[in-house]
Amino acid sequence: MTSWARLNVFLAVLVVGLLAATVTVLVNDSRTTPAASATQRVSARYDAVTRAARVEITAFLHVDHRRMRPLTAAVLEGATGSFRSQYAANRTKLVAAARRSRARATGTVRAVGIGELAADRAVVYVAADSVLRSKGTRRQPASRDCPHPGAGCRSYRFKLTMQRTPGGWKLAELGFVS
Amino acid sequence: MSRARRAGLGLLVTLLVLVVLAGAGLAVALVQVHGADTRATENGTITSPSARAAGLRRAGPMTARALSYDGRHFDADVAASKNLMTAAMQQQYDTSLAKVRDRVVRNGVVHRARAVASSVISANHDQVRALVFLDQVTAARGAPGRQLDTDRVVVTLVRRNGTWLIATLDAF
Repeated sequence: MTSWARLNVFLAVLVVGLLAATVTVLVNDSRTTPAASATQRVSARYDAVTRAARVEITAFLHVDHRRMRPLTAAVLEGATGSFRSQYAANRTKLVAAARRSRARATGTVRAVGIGELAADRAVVYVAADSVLRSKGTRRQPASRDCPHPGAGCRSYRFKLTMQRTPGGWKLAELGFVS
Repeated sequence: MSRARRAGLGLLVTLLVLVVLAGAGLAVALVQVHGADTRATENGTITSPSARAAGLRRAGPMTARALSYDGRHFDADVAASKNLMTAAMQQQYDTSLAKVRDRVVRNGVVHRARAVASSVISANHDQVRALVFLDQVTAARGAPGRQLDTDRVVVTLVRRNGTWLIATLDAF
C-alpha cells in the first residue's frame, strides 16, 4: 500500500469516526431532551402561576374608596370559580364599606411559594402585607410593628387555589392560614 | 502524473473536505447540546423537580426544628439544630441565640415552632428556596398562659455532599 493510500484510509476512518461521534451526541441529546423539556414546562408553569397569584393578591389588597369599581373589576378579572362568585356577590357591600370608611390600602406581596402543581390546578401560598388607612385608623400612632402614623398594618398568610382557564391562571379559592 | 496517482489525490482532497465537514458537524452538535443543557439546568425557577420535592418535604420540619428550643435542655437543642445548618448559618444562629440564652435557661422558656404550610419558591439541583408558614408557641415557667405567634419564613436549603442544610432563614 502506498503512503497516499494509507493516508486516504486514515482519513476515511477519521470521517467515519467523526460522523459516529456526531450521531452519538445527537442521539444522547434526544434521550435527555424530553426530561429537560418537561422540567422547562414545569418551570414555565411555575412562573405563570406565581405571576398570576402575585397580581391577584396585589389587586385583592388594593383598596381606594374613590375608585372601587375599577379596583374590584381588576380582582374579578383574575378570578374564577367559587372565589369569583363570592367576590362578585359581595362586591356592592365591599364598595359601600370602603366608601363609608374612606378606606385606602395597598398590598405588598412578600413571597409566593407553590405547594402543589398540576397541569391545570395549583395550590399556592402567599405571604403579603398591607397598610390600611381609614376613618378608624386616623389616630393610630406609628409603632415598631407599624411605622405608618394614621394607618394600620396587616400581615397575611394566604392559601390560594389557582385554576388554569383559557384566559390564563386564575384564583379559584382563597383562604387564610390562621 | 499517472491516472492512479491523480485518482488517489482526488480521493485525498475529497476525504479532507469530509473530515472538515464532519468535524464542523460534531462541533455544532456539541455546542447545541451543551447550550440546551445549560439552559435547562441554569435558567428557570424550577430546574430540578427532585430538588423541589425534597425541599417541599424538608423545609417545614427543618425550619420548625431550627426555631424550637426548651430552656431545660437548651444547649442540646441548639446543638441538634445546628446540625441542620451550614457553617455560616451556624454562626448567625449562635449570635442570635447568645442574646437570649440566659433568659431562656433562667426562666425555663419553651419555644415550639410548627410548620402549618410549606411551599417552594424556586429549586435547582443544589438549592431550594421555600416559603414556610409557622405557628410558634412560647411558654415560660411561672408565667400564665402561652404566647402564639404566626410567622412567615423564607428558608434557603442547600445540598452539601448529598445532605440538605439550612443556609438562610428570613422570618417576617
